[in-house]
Amino acid sequence: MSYSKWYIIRLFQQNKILFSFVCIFIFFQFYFNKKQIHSFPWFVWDMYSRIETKPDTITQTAFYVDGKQLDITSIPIWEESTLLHTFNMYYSIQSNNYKDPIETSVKKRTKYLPLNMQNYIAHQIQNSEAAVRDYPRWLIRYVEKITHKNIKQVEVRKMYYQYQNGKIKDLQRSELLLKINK
Amino acid sequence: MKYLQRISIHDKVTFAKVVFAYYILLLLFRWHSSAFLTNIFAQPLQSPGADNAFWLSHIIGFPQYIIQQYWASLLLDISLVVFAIACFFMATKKPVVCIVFIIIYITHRITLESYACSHTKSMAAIFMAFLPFCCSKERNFYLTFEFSRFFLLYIMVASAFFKMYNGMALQPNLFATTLINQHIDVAINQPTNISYQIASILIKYPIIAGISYTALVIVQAFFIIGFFTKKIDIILFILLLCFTISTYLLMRIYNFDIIILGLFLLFSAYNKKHEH
Repeated sequence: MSYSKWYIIRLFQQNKILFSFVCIFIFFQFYFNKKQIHSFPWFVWDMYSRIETKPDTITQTAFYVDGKQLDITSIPIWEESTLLHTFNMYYSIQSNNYKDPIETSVKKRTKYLPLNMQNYIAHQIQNSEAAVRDYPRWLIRYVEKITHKNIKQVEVRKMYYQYQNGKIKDLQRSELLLKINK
Repeated sequence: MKYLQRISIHDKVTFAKVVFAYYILLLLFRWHSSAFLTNIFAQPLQSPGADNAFWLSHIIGFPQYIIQQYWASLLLDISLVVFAIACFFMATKKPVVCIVFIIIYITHRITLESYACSHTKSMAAIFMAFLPFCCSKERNFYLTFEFSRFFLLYIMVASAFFKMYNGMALQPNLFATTLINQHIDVAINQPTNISYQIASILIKYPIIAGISYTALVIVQAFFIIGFFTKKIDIILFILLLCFTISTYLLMRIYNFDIIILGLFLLFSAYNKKHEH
């Protein structure tokens, strides 16, 4: 085996700057893998690698537009994901007494910085209460845009199901998470 | 296989056209899916996650500014499309166009993903695919090209590794549970959907689900051969296509962005003359 044909050896021989960049890239890839942190362009490629246990009840976030459930599988994947992820973000902050859960990370990462820097970074990274309160208005506008309808009311409910004998059984139980009237 | 061997990806210019044409197709799909900044304009909640690049951007403040100004969102959306088209025509002649395009691409994706509250890994794959076109010298182009090819191999092999390391590959029958959790929306709203039809067979027979999952891990691990030889790059490309289509059909996971790096496998197979 001729080592001179190896990519990393050829890279070192032909372009030392590029070689340094590649080495730094590889170092940070290992570092972020170890830390289990996604940090562009170093992602941890571990999708669907963790064991999932079968829950007793399965929950679904359902959107009701003027009393009728929105079939989110009928809209493009990206719109479906935006609806669900932005709502989950809203709900996690709203149910945490309007405190952004990222606050702990901000404090941990900035603890060695001067106080004014800490405050500035917290202001830039964390969601404010005003932004959270503003979300329902944006949500109704977004739902109007994707359904191409004028909407009077949007409700978001957590629905409960159970998987039994190859079928999804509706437990006839739901929890109102958000109600927006235009 | 013979048909594939006739594909004329023989030179840098043709290769650039294929890569950017594919990216323009991805943009068309994004346009159809309303995945542009103007579609989520004024969304008030941000989610930079733990990502350092996203944090830095938010500390500087440009994502907040862009999402709150309609003209800025529109300008960035238009710039992304215009520069992608410009790269299609002149990426190999003017690397500076590609450098500007990459800056626009990163700004666009960071803003979009922060306010869509998602964090898609394909962002890195697309970024890697554009890197070689930033090199003006032929030699640097091929060195960076090889690095991008290795990055794709790494993605696939790392995915297989983590499936073993985190334990799922050792209990593949539990894949049926993953499918139940994954398909709850489709099962309720559209039980006739093809994804759910396929998944429901695997859910019913966890052994078949386990075999499918193990096959997936083997396919991903198979990419390790690419680190030692380029002789099977065409096979790897076909496997990547099969992997992408099957995960889309079975799990509704959109992996088509990664195909852009798959084009590097096609190109490397036909450019052995440039191996040093």
